[in-house]
Amino acid sequence: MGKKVKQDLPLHKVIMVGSGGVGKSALTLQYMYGDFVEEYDPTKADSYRKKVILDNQECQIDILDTAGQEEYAAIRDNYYRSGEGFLCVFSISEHESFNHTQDFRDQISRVLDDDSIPFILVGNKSDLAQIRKVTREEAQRKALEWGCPYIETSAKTRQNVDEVYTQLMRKIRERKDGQKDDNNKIRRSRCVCL
Amino acid sequence: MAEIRQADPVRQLIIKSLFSDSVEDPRSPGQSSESEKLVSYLKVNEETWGGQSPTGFDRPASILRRGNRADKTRYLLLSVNNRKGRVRLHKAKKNGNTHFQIGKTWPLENIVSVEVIDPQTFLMTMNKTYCWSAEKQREKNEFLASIYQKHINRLPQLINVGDNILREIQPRSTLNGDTDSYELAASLQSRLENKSQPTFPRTVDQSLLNLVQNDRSTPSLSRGGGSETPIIGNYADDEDYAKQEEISLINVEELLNDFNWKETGNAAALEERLLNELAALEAANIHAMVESDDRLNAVIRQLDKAIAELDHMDQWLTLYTAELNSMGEDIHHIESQNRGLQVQTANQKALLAELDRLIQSITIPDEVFLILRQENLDTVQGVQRIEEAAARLQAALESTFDEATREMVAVKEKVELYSLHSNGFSNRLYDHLKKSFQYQADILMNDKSRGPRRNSLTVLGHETIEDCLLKYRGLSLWMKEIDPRRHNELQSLYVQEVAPIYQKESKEYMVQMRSMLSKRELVEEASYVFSAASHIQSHRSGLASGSSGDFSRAPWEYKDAGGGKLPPEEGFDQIMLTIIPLIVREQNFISDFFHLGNKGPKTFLNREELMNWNSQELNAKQELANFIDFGCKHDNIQSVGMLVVLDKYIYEYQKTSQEFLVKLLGAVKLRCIKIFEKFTNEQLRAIEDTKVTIKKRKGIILFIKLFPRYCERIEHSMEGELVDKLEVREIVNKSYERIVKTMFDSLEAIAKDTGSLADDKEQLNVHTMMLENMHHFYTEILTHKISVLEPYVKHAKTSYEKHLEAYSKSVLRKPFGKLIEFFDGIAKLEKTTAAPEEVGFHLRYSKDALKKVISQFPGKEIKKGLESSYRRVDRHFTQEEGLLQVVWLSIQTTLLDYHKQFTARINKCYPDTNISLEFTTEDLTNYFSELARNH
Repeated sequence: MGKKVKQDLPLHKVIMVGSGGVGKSALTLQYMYGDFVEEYDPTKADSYRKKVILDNQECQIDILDTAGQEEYAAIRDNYYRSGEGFLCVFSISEHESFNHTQDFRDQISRVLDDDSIPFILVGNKSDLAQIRKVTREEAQRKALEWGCPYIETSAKTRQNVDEVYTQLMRKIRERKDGQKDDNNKIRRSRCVCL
Repeated sequence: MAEIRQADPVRQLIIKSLFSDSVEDPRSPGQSSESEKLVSYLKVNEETWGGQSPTGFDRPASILRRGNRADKTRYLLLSVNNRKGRVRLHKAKKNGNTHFQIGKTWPLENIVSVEVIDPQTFLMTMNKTYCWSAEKQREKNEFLASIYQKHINRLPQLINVGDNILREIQPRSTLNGDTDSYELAASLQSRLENKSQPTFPRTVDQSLLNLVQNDRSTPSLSRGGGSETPIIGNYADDEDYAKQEEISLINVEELLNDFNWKETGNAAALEERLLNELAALEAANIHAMVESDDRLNAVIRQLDKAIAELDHMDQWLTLYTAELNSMGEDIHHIESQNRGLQVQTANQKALLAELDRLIQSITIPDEVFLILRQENLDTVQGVQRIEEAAARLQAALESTFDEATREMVAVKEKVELYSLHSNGFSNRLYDHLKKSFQYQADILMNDKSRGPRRNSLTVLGHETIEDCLLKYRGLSLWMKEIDPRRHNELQSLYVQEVAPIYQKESKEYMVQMRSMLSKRELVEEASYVFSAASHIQSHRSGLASGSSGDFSRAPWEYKDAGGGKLPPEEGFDQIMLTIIPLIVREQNFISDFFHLGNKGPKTFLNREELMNWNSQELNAKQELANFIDFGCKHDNIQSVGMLVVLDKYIYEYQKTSQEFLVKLLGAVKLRCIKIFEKFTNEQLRAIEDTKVTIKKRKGIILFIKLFPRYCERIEHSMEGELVDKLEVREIVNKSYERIVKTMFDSLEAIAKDTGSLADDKEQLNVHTMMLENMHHFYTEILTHKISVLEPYVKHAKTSYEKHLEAYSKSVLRKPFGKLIEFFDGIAKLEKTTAAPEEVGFHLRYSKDALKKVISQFPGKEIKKGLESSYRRVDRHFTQEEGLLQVVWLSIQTTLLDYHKQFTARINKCYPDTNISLEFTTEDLTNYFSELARNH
């Protein structure tokens, strides 16, 4: 029974998207290991798992850290489909990275055919406020448009790092719970039917 | 002239006063001795020169200083003795109105010279030069003339005596009938005038005149050198002068003859001789004057008498001095003797004091001995009194006497006596302490209340012994100083008595502690200990890897936790917490009670003390070692926790003087290290054995899965800020490194184990295993932040990336092998051929061959190949490591890269052939998207 419990430990699959160099890996590593890596080494793709306590409930988080500068968007389709929640990251010091978020959003919506997928717009590098190019209001408007939260983070200072992951996991859990209820209803109704 | 004389009242008065008889009747010869007749008189003022000699070449100047003169009125009297015809000059003064008194008398021959200075004043030199001035010129002239007339034998020098005086004299001489002298003089002069002219040059004449005239003054020849000749001139034309000169010339001639002088002789020598002569004359003169006085003899006689008296007195005085000197010596002697006596007295006083002190210091009243022998050693007051007594005894024994004092019989005797007493008391104290030790030890041994109690797990201290013995602390010091050997014996006695108590109590405590330890089951251990896991696995060979042990629970949690039971490492910490203060306290007590210095070089005695301790240490060490063995029996990792505990205390105490404790802990630590080493070796063996026992070479290998938990477990025992400073950190790090190295080696060995690597399937298996395990290793170990493992984490990551790439290529090789091989061949050829275009000339890689290969891979085929590849990858990578998506991404990218490469190669090697792959990049991305939608 114990083993069963372990295997049934809820697994929340989070995917990091965003242009290259906005700090997706930095956020992930900060969240996973509490480290900040200063030097930039473009990621190919990596996946991390960690056991976490979410609202007094033990669960596992699976983070798929993707490469930002892939030539062909289509190769992401597959892993987008495996994602249960997305952190769409841009750098507040680079307006182009903010513009690109629209592309990522569009692709996710298209691949998943679902606008209600757990999604958070993340403005990273908030510690570089002095060279800010994207205003908070601007980003906020975009988030409002997409119906998702907007959070500013700093992988360097760990500001809001835990918060974005936790918030996303909550959304994922809520969504899963809703689906479970739906399934149960269906099953029950079937039973009733039978 | 006579009338004038008669009429002169002064003259009458003089005659009346001095020459009364002869004046009235000069012819009566029968008169008294004073038959002198006054010839003439002159009232003069006598001028004196303040004691200054009027003679000498400075005389004119002196004379002019008249203001200095103290004038006296005197009467010069010229008298002639009636009988002898001696003419004498008197100097008299007037007493009252009528009476005259003669002060001095000179025979006329004594008048050496007469010099006229001015009309009234003249100088007359006898034995002394007088300066007299008359009231009138005429009187003066008359008087001088009268002197002149009366000269018979020798004419005085006449200087500046005017011819008027001489003229005056002329007629008078006839009157007086007293012309012989005048005539003689005149004849002399005439004679001289005739004769002298050729023989005597004027200059010589003048100089001679000057010589005579100047008396004793130093003559100067130049003075008479022509220009100054008024005096001479005066004489020259004069008859007086001629006469006078003749006389003087006769004199000079005689004189010169006397002196044996010739005209050719030396004037200077003559002058000298003249001067000598003058001096002799003068001396003779003085002598004559002195001799003539009778009183002188009287004075001399008196003086002789006085001198005799004085000599006599001198003799007496000498006598007295000698007497006094001898007395002085006596007094000196007596004084020094007195001082000596004082010193002696002081010394004797000091000696007395010294002796007093000595006696005081070595004398001990009998009651002291009584106290030492009989005073109660059980009460604090008694002990105090004994301490005082013992201190006195010690002070007496240890009094620092010099060699001599120590040789004194009295002192020797006393010291012997005291040694005896001291020895006796030492015996008594020894026996008493021995008994006390035994008694106290027995009490503790038999105290049932001290036994182990169910509720309190502790060892009670030995306060009762300490309290009881503490009062003997002072006496112990006494013993140490007086009798070190017995003091030493006491120490071993004490240890002998106390050691069994510690032994018993610590044993009881350990037993009790053991019962409180929780036990670990092997099954639990299997979730983090390699050896345990492999053990279980080999027994339940049917089970899949990773299913053994409970991974959800922290590796340090015990199944029966919460039941008040302790894991052994915590129990060990508890034991240390209990025992260390006891050991520290006991060491402090012993070193305090027995006054053992903890610092400084170890003496022979100290080494002995340590030997005593060693017997006890052995007990403690054994007890602790037993406990460690017991605690680690089922869970060797406990040794890490115990090592930390030991290191912690060693670190805490190594700078203190608790040598015994540090030594003890060090010894126990060695045992722990041994256990941990043994444990590590077991783990290494288990890891190595995995490659033999492993059944299924897929997924995460058990030891890779266990390792993070293993680290977790060990790091759990290494908590605390201090740990990184302790030696245990190094020990653990070393064990980590050894394990990781062994794991990597084993992993590689397992991956490459069976089959040939040429086998495509085998190769894929190797890559799958390696990349999954390495990925697991580095993502997991990063979490633990064990710095010593960082190089291994990097290595794992690199290895993962390498195998991922190899895997991706390998997977694609299956469906697209032909295509890939064809282009690989072209790539190889490109390196050997000169130009890329030449590739097409090779038969195997001709345009047709290319076309054929390309035609074999239409879009449909590609899509099919991708589908099968995806299924395969999906099969390889279970959700366990979550790498499916990552690997698939890598494969997609690899395929896209291939497409890019192939297209480039076609364009390069087969230009202008218009041949292209039968699928585009867009096709590929579409396939990817479609694949994504289907899964």
